[in-house]
Amino acid sequence: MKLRAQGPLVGIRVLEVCEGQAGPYCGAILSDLGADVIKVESREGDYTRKLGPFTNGESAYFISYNRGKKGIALDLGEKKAKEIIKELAAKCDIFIENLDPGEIESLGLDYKSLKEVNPSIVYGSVSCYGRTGPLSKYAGNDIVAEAMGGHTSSNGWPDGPPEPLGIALSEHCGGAELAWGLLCAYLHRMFNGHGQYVDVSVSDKNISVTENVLALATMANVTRQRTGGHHFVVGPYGVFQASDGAYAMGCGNNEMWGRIARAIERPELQEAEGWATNLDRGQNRTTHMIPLLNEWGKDKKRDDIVRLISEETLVPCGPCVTHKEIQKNIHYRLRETVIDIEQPKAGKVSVASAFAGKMTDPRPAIQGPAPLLGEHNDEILSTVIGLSGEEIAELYKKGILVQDLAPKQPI
Amino acid sequence: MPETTQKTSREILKKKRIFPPQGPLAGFRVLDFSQVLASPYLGTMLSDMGAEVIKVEASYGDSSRGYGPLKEGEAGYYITQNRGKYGLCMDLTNSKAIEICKELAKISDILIENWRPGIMNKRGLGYDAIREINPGIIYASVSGFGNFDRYAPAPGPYSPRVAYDVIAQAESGHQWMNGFPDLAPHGLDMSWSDLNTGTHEAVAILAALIQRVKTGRGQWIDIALTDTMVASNENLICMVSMAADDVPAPCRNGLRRLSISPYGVFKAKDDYFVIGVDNDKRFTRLCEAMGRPELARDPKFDTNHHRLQNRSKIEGIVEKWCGERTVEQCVRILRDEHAVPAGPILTNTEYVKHPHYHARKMLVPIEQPRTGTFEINGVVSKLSRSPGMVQGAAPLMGEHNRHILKKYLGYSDKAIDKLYDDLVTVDNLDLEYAYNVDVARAKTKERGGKQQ
Repeated sequence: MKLRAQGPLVGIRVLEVCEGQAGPYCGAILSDLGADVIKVESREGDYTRKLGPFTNGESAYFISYNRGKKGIALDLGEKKAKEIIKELAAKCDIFIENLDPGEIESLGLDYKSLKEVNPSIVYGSVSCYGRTGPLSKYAGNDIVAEAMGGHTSSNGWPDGPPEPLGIALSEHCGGAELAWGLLCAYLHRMFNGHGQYVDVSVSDKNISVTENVLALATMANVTRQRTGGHHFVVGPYGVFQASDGAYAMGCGNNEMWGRIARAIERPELQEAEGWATNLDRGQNRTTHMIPLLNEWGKDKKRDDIVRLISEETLVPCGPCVTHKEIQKNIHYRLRETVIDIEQPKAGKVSVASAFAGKMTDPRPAIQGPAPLLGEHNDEILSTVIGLSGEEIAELYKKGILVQDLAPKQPI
Repeated sequence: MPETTQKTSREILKKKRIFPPQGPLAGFRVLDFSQVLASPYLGTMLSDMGAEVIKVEASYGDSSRGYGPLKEGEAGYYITQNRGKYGLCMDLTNSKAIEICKELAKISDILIENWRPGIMNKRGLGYDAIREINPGIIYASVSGFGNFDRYAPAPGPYSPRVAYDVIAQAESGHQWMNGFPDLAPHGLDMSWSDLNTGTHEAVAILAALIQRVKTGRGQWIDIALTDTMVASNENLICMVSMAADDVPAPCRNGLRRLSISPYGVFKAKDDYFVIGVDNDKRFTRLCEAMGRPELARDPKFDTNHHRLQNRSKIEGIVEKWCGERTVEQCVRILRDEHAVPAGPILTNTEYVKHPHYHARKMLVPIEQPRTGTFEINGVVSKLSRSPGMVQGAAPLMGEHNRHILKKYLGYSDKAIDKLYDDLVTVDNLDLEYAYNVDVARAKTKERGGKQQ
């Protein structure tokens, strides 16, 4: 399928040797911004191709992280395949990888090797621990990076176990960080001509998205506790239950609390002992505040509560929506945060933009569907490194080039 | 450590603190109208990479100057998000102050802000006004649901709504997925929407800067907390679009991630820890590590698809194995000996001592004028040739007023004295305490300045 590039990075070519999440997400951001992203896969393909659910053999997981890219697949065990990737890298501006420690070296595609064929290449790695430091030799992923970065220990309830974040947020945040590092390096190259190596660790990013938690340890030696996502100081600030779902509200001060107390028909609580100040409400959060609001909400519908709180008290409030609601939401459609794309086998599916910003000039956009395994082999090899039709046919015959245009669903 | 030093900030700040910029953005100037978290974090990312960031605060200061941990009146929250910036503090309801902002915008490359949509316009500092005096400027706004005035790139029906981080977590599906299936969902451990959005905005600014170097054109970048969090939803949007309407929505799954197994928090003999097996290769190694290599070939478990179908069985086997060992043993066997992603669950007081983060310079000393020296988070993206650095301390309120007005706008000391007399510029360097919201407010009132 043809892709349509649009955005500030049009004309920049990216070679991606990544699987999973953070690396591919970085590639998807660059693609949304207009870059020409070529994804290199092995004979088996990115492992997310095998993560369900599937439609006609195409995986929602793979589509989500790889739409808008061109795909080439090679038997990476073959020497010739490694040479081809090197030749492609010589023609690219940016290279990204997120393989397990040592793997990129064994493919001969480490920074030192690529610098020889392309001295100005901007080379980025994203991994759980980074490429230096005592833990860099170990394999990891988002679940480990979040645990190492203090997020698991503080997610959940004070009397319950530490919980993983429900969604691999840190892979997205780490992938975006790599995109940032790469573009900083690319800008440097525009002025000085030099390429360089950019090393991003998702664990590092996790301790950097810290709010005040890191300073809490280094300035005050205080260990962060779990609060069920409720605000430490102010309240009610967090998630509460309705009869048919849940909603979040953020009450920031005593005035707002007064309006909430009236809205829930407990006006006396505005001034009552144990309720009047933020500090009171913060301290009594689990014993009084959350039970009070959950009890009040148990016979009311989520959307009615959100309307009541937002309109009558002007306290910021919103429903805890499901993904189906997001997929159909008109606001996200109008902002092109959620759009439909046409996959070659799965047909019409919805995806979120990887790059979330909206720009006036030009507007970034999802370039098109995710590739089937090896879908753009011929196009990439002929346009980027000028191989002839015969040469490409020879590579297929020898099994160096791989293609699977009719994926089967695992059963 | 004494309770307070009994000295005014002006006495402590004997020498001017000026940062020599280092990094790929050295030479770019950023005017930073940000407050609290999302945009301040973005400003710090820009500063870490060498940009000269001028933080413009209203006369009552960024409210995060009051957020803990507090030491000698300086706030850990504010320092984390504002280190390496110059501080300019003015009464933004005063027209002379707005004029100064515009003069600075004229000579800046980037302007960042996260006031409620409409506020910057009301002050005369909206995108329309700024692009007239500096068409090449990259103007970056952060809001809950997007901006909606006439130049806004993508207004939507929710755009006028006010949102905090907690609302963005709710309306992007993240809270729905966080917690146990039989209990209500709960908020994430911290303000991920703000921090994730700051990071995405940084990418956008760099992309726009690259384009500007080529074309000379500036632009307005509008980023919403909710959009960034929807974008960070793994496979879930695509997943629900594939499913029939009557299929139940994906839901939170407690200690284990929904669509991969075995992947999540497990309990060892002494404590909880994490295992992340996201592909078959790693599953094979897990089975070897547990001394059960045959499980990798068992048709009930050989693919992720099959493991999900038999989730309780395989996770039960792993749980039993973990329950017989300590975290230390589990991590050694899995992570160190079998290359299976696994690790302990660290708290903040634990990770700040971890040698790995120190080796990666992720904990670097920062010297604040009143608080003294402590460790703060370092630069995440490690660039080999033009690395960034934590450029310096966070400013006290109005610390660089004089420096900025002299250096960039050529004001004389006399002219600056007049700005102070006219209550245009404000600082609290004569306090024996760095900052106190009430003191600052009272002071503004006393001097006849308006509350904004």
